[in-house]
Parts: sequence; C-alpha cells; structure tokens
Amino acid sequence: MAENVIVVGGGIVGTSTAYYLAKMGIHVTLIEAQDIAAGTSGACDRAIMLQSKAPGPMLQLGLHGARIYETLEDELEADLEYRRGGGMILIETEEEMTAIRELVERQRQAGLDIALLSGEQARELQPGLGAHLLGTTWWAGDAEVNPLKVCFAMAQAAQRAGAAIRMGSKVTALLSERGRVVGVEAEGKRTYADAVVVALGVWTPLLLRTIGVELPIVPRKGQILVSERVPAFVSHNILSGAYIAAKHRKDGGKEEAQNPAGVGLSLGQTGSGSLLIGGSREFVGFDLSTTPQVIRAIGQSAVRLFPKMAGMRVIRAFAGLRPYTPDGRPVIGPVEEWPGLYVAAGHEGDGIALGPATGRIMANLAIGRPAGCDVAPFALSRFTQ
Amino acid sequence: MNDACDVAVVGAGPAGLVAAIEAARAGLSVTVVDEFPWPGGRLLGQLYTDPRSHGRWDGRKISRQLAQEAGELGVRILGGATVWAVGRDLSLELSGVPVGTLRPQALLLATGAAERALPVPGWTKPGVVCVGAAQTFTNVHHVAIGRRVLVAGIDPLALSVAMEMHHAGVDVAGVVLPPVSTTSGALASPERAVARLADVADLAPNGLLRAAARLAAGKLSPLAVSALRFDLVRVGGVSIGFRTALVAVEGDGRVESATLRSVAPDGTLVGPERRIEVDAVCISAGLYPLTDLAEIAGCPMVEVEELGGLVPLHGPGLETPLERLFVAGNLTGIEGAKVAIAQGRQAGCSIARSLGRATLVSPEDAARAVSDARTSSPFRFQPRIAAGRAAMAELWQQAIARGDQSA
Amino acid sequence: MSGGYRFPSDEPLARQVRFTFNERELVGLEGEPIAAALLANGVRTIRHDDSTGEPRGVYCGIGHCFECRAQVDGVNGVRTCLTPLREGTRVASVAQWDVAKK
Ligand SMILES: Cc1cc2nc3c(=O)[nH]c(=O)nc-3n(C[C@H](O)[C@H](O)[C@H](O)COP(=O)(O)OP(=O)(O)OC[C@H]3O[C@@H](n4cnc5c(N)ncnc54)[C@H](O)[C@@H]3O)c2cc1C
Ligand SMILES: Cc1cc2nc3c(=O)[nH]c(=O)nc-3n(C[C@H](O)[C@H](O)[C@H](O)COP(=O)(O)OP(=O)(O)OC[C@H]3O[C@@H](n4cnc5c(N)ncnc54)[C@H](O)[C@@H]3O)c2cc1C
Ligand code: FES
Repeated sequence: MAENVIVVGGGIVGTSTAYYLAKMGIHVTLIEAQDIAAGTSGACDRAIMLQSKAPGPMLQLGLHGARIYETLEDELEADLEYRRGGGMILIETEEEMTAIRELVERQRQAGLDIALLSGEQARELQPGLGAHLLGTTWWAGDAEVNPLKVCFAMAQAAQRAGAAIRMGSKVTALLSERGRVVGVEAEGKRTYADAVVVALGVWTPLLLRTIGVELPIVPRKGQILVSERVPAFVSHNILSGAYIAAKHRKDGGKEEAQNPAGVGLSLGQTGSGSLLIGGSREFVGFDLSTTPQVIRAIGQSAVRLFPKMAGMRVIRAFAGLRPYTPDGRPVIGPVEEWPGLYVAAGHEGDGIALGPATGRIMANLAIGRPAGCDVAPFALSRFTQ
Repeated sequence: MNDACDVAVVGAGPAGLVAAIEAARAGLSVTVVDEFPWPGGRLLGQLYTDPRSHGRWDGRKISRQLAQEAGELGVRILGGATVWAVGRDLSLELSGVPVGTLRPQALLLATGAAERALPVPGWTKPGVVCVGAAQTFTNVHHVAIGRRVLVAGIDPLALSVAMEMHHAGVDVAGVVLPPVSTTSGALASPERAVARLADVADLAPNGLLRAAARLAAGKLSPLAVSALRFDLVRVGGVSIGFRTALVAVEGDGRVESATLRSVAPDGTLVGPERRIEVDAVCISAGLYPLTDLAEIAGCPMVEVEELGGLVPLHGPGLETPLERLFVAGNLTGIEGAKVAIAQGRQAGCSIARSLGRATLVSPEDAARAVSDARTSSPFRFQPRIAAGRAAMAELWQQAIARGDQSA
Repeated sequence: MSGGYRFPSDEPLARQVRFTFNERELVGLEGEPIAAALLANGVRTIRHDDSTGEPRGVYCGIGHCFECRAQVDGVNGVRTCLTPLREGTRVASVAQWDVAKK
C-alpha cells in the first residue's frame, strides 16, 4: 500500500484528492504550477446541478458528490457559500419541451423527482422571466457553491492534516524506474513517491504525453459575463434548454451550424451580488480570450429570458477551459501500462459538482483501497483499447 | 449600426484628430470614435501661455479647429460612444449613443492617458479628485470643484492646474507634496520634486510653474540640497509647501479638512500633524498610458518606465506587430499635446501608406516633426522621455530580428 | 470664492435646463456633463457604495474611474462626467434595478 503520494494539479480535483489522502494519514505532496484554482476551477460557474447530468454513471457520481457537499462546510470548517436553493432548466420552444420531457422521464426513473412546471408557474418561482417561456423543470435538490472557496478550503484542510503544498512549481516530467512511475520533476527538482496522481484538467494530456500515454481530453472554452452587483433575485441554478442542448450535442449536427459557439444561458448570483451569466461551448484550443460576438450572444440570450436585464451593466467577461472528453465522462483511475500512475481529469462542465467525489475515489484508488463505487465507466482503458 | 470604413480611430484627442485629418487628406474614409460627447480629449482642458510663441495655448479652440477641419474633409466623428472590444479582424464594438460594430481596413488606437491613483486615508470622500478632474471642471466646464482647495502634488500639471484654479477665483489653500506611500515613492520626496521642476524651468507655461521651477533650478546650487532650505514659497498668491505632504483627508460625508505633515528632504514624515480647512482636495500622482484596447486587440505590450509604464510595442512609424493596427499619442508614452499632434500626423501618413495611398508628408519629415515637437514642448511629463523612445526603438528592432512583425 | 460654484465665462452660456437628482428639481446648462451640473448645484455625493454605504462622487472627471456613475433616465451605471445634460434628464443615485418589476 502506498504511503507516499504526489498529486499534480491544484484545481478542485487535485486539492480534493490531496485532502482525502491526507485525512487518511497518507504523506501527500500537492504540486501546482501557479496557484490554487489558477486553472479552470477558478474560471467557472458555481452549480452543483444533478438535473443536467446524464442518467447513468454521471448521475451516480453526481449524487455521491452532492451528498459530500451537504456536510462539507462543517467537515472543512470553512464557509463555501454552499446553498441548496434548487435548480431550473428553462424551456423556450416545443422542440426543447420534447427533449427535456424525455430527459426528465429518465431522471425520474433514476430517482430524481424533477417537476415540470408551466410558464406561469416558472414566472412565479423565478421573478423576471420572459413571457414567451413555455415552462421549466424544477428540482429542489440542486445546489451551488463558490468553487474558489472549495479549492482553498480543501488545500488548507489537507495542509492541516499534514500535506505539503508546493505552488509555482510546474511539473515537467514523470520519473520512471523499471516500468513504474516513481515520482515527478518540477523546476529541476525531483520528488519521489509510491504513487503519482495527475489531476491537470485540460493540461493532463500534455504531461502524460511525455511518458507516451495519449488521452482524448481537449479544452472546450466557456465565456462568462459578470454583471454589476444587483439585489439578490436568483436563488437557484438556472440553465436554458439551449444550454443543455449544447452540452450534450454531438459535433457537426444541425445545432452546431445554427449556434457555432454553443451559446446557452446559465445564470447564478455570487455572494456579493454579481450575476455570472454564461456561457458558450467552443473548441478553440487553449485560447482564453473573450470575443465580442460571443459576449453579445450571451447577453442577448440573457435578455431574451430576463427582459429586465437589458438595463443591467456587464462589468467584465472571462473564459475558462472545460476539460472535455468524447463521451462526456471523466477519466478516474490507474494508467494500466504504468504502475504507480493515476489520472483524475476530464470533468468537462461538471468538475465543481464532481470534484470532491472524484477526490475521495482517487484517494482510495491511489493507495490500493476499493474505490467505494463502480469506477469501470471512468476507466482510461475505454479510450486506449 | 454596422458599417465599414477605410480607417477607424479610437480617441478624438489631438493624436486621433490629426491622424484622421491626414488619412482623410490621402483620400481615405475615416471614422473617429470617442466616449466623450465632444472631440478634443485632454486637449480640451489645456489653457496656458506658450513661452515659446508667447501666444495663448487654448485647447478648446484648437480642438474645435481640428474637429472642423476633419469635418470638412469628410471625417465622421462619433461622440458619446465607448469602444468596449476590438476583434482580431480589427472590428470595433461600440456602446453608448451609437451601438454596433465598425469594420475598418486599418485601425488607429489613440486612447491617451489616465491618472494614477494615490490612496490616502479619506481619499474616497466626495470632494477628493484627480488633478485632471480639477483641470477639466475648471477650464472646460467652468465649475469649481470646491471653494477652498488643497492641491497635493508638486509637478508641472499640478502647479498649472493650481494656477488655473487660482485665476478662476478658487481659494487655493496650498500646493503640497502628495501622500507618501509605497506607490508614490519618490514623487513625495522634496528632493525629487525640486529636481523634476528644475527640469522644466525654462519651458514652464505659466507664472507659478515658471517661478517655482526657477527657484528650484535657479542660482541655487547644488540644486537639490540648497533648494530644500525653504519650505513655503509664495508665488502669485499661491503657496507651495516643498517640505509638506498630505497625510489624510477628513470630513463627514464630504471633505471638510486635510491633515498635513512636514517631510524631511529624503521623504520621511517628521513633526506634528496640522490640519487645514478645505472643501476639496486634488491629488496628482502622474499619468500612465491607457492600454486596455491595445491589449484587447492582442498587441504585444512592453514595460518601459521612461514612457510611463506598460505600452504597446510599436515601430518608428507608429505601426504595431499586428497588421494594420497603429498607435499614437499618449498611448505610446506620456508627453504633451504638441507631441501628440505630431504623432497623429505621422500615424495618419503611415496608415495611408499601409493602404496604398500617397501622402504629402514623407515618413522622414513626419518623424522629424515628432522629435521637434518633443524639444519645443512646454510640458515634459516623463523626465527621461528620449531614453524611453530609444528603448522602444531597440525593442522593436529586437522584435523584428525575432520575426514577430507580421506586416 | 463666494456665491455659486460656476465661474463667470466670457463665452455665451448654454441654455438653462431643468433636471432632477433623486427627484429634487435642479437647473443646469444644456449639454454640460451631468456631473458638472450637479457640482454647480453644490451636489458632491452622487451615490453610496453598495457594500460599505460610503458616499461617492466625481474622482477622475474624464470617464476612467466609474466613481460618478448614476442611474440616468432609467439606465444604470451611467458615467455622469461623460453624459450631457438635457431638459428633463432624471438622475438617481441608487441602482433601482428590480428584475421582478414589470
Ligand atoms: C465557463 C465554465 C463554467 C463551468 N461551470 C461549472 C459549474 O457550474 N459546475 C460544475 O460542476 N462545473 C463547472 N465547470 C467545470 C469545472 O470548472 C471543471 O470541470 C473543473 O474546474 C476542472 O477541475 P480540475 O481540477 O480538473 O482542473 P483545473 O481546475 O484546471 O486544475 C488543473 C491545475 O493544474 C495546474 N497545472 C497545469 N499544468 C501543470 C503542470 N505541468 N504542473 C503543475 N500544475 C499544472 C493548473 O494551473 C491548474 O491549477 C465549468 C467550467 C467552465 C469553463
Ligand atoms: C488628466 C490629464 C491632464 C493633462 N494635461 C495636460 C496639459 O495640461 N498639457 C499637456 O500638454 N498635456 C496634458 N496631458 C497630456 C495629454 O495626454 C496630451 O496633451 C494629449 O492630450 C494626448 O493626446 P492623445 O490624443 O494621445 O490622447 P487624449 O487627448 O487623452 O485623448 C484620448 C481620447 O480617447 C478617448 N477614449 C479612450 N478610450 C476610449 C474608448 N474605449 N472608447 C472611446 N473613446 C475612448 C478619450 O475619451 C479621449 O478623448 C494631460 C493628460 C491627462 C490624462
Ligand atoms: S468621475 Fe471618473 S468616470 Fe466619471
């Protein structure tokens, strides 16, 4: 059993993994190139939304994650802005209505008692919604959290439990001996351990390539607008049907032609009152720029659904890179051809919801314990074989 | 609005307006965008006697003339429109009075400069303003920022504005050093303030500045040390405290008083605090190039302290490494209006040539006019500006050698 | 200085117009920035900071700092130092933004 583990990457997945390892008494070193949450976990939304997860392994992992979040503030002794305010998926067209009815049916079979409300009921539940809205889903179990706070709290709790954290330290190579990964090299310094967990989000393939392992994680950019502070009015997660369609769509379809940047509305409000208005889904490599066309399209979709937003100021915009995989599921588990090497990455747009659950599973796997759930759907081998 | 033009110019300051005129002369269609309703930029607030020509430098009048000349050449000036993004294709996104997209062949960014902030306890109270606000309200809007005003900052701009307010009838309670802080650094040291003033002695465009500068530079020698024997100097009815700094601003909901302290020649605070009654405080902490749009456009940026900080990398003809993107005026380094005008002309010519048009002015003449303007300028904001320009030329050469330039 | 905040000017003055600030009726000059009209009326505090509640007013005077923002004719976050005054302009401090209101 491993006694000594290196975790590479200080996003939500890496910090969570480090925390659960340290909590089990394992000697952990977390190595991050820049700062905690400097990557995607610091450039994203705040939803812990189960409604949007595909029924099956993703929903199971989501349920596992949601349960962890319920008590996480107490466990980490930190304010995470966690709030269980429910969530809605807004339905604007008959086409969306058909698709979402079907999704809701499957979610119900999987155990989520999601309601389907009329436009009238939707407007009652969420003031300000446009008159054209046909309806909405509603599930009281959806929650939200401040992702930066989660990452920092995980890192601090890990540290309190004895983990060493090295920031500003970019890992450039995986060290191997006799067919086994035995450590990493960062800034010219070599560090050895019984196991190495790579939790680098979109950057994961860059490091694994150095040791001959290919995996199909690619960046899928999302742009988000930040509004001026406004009085609280969004108390739950809001997604539009168009957002769900963009999330689950396959390449090259009709939707892609109509909406090349994959714009759909996601709306949340921060503790300080700013709205986070998302978002897009774009395959443009590691480019983090915001673009006027997409910013405008996001603004338009927000105003269409919330006409009053037309009078509101957008104060800035930012972009993050979702670690996308072709089947929409992350990779969580060992790299078979390299004993000692593990991967936890590829959560696309669900890493905040799934990060703590992933960390707990990964911690178990890295020290040779049972995962605690079925991890076969997340095996790297599904892409390599 | 969604339309095309040959050239778009962001910023209707002297650099932007003159560039627009030059490009229009070469037969190009030009649109100038500025978020202020009237053209002129920072030129609008400038009002002083030019010691070279002994004539009056009336920025409002010059702005009007430039705008009129531009109008006669068919330049379209869109006022009240903020450019909030620049696309990779140089398209401009506008918000404000006209909303929409401009799609030019070539783009000039002439967004000017902004003022550095210099926090001091109480600096957010209504009545504490930047020196540029005092200049604009006094000279452009003809409204007093207060009845009794303290000016914190002993530099050419602050002294000019103090004098302009005094002439307009404001009771200027004094001009003192800016607050001592990690950001003000040497600004707040008497030695440095005196040295800066000495630098502009013979060119100073108004009585107060000239007198203060002469005092600083004058017969006194060695300059810095002996000049510091005096603390309070009274010039033309305004007192300057070379050994006094602002340390706090007080008041319930608005400025009611300011607290001052003496400063040793090296800049450390000494002695007891004293309080004076004022209803406005104006702080001068220096200018820096307003680079936001250049950065959004994707122009490589370089840090050149002598130019005022971060500036877009640019070549001798004010071209940038991005094809058909040009920069001019204070965006390229902090200097006075005459330099901005000469740079505008140069940029206008470069743009015309980049679009295959002939110009009356040769590139050499345009460049020479810029350095002439520099030597005759009544305002020198950055003491080592020439070194800064040379450093940029060097950086540009290095970039070309690396093959960065796409043009 | 005595009396008001407006300097005598040798240029012809613009037309006087009426406007309101937080429902109070004031008089200013047509076309001048709203911030100048407010200052000429002795109004320094344009708004209160939405987290600390501290009063705020003009700082840079030329559009860079956003300290002078107010609601102007129903639009939030307008920089009053850049926005010309018109007859009947309504200026308000608070961000009266209510998504639920019809
Ligand atoms: C616009 C947007 C909105 C989103 N909204 C949500 C949402 O509402 N809910 C949700 O659940 N998910 C959301 N997501 C998805 C979620 O943000 C990601 O899935 C998650 O943050 C990924 O976390 P990670 O730890 O895998 O990667 P990251 O957070 O990217 O962490 C990787 C870390 O590795 C570091 N690194 C890179 N290379 C090296 C190296 N060589 N050596 C050392 N360190 C290195 C990076 O600096 C970074 O800190 C959103 C994503 C985006 C882009
Ligand atoms: C506060 C202040 C006081 C000064 N006083 C003097 C002085 O007394 N004497 C002197 O010689 N020099 C002075 N200067 C230096 C001054 O910058 C130059 O004299 C000259 O005006 C520079 O010309 P410019 O064309 O580069 O920029 P500016 O004259 O500054 O013009 C830039 C214009 O760009 C516009 N702009 C910027 N960003 C945007 C955007 N995103 N969208 C739309 N429009 C935009 C601005 O509204 C502005 O009108 C002062 C500078 C400042 C900042
Ligand atoms: S005072 Fe700074 S933007 Fe108006």
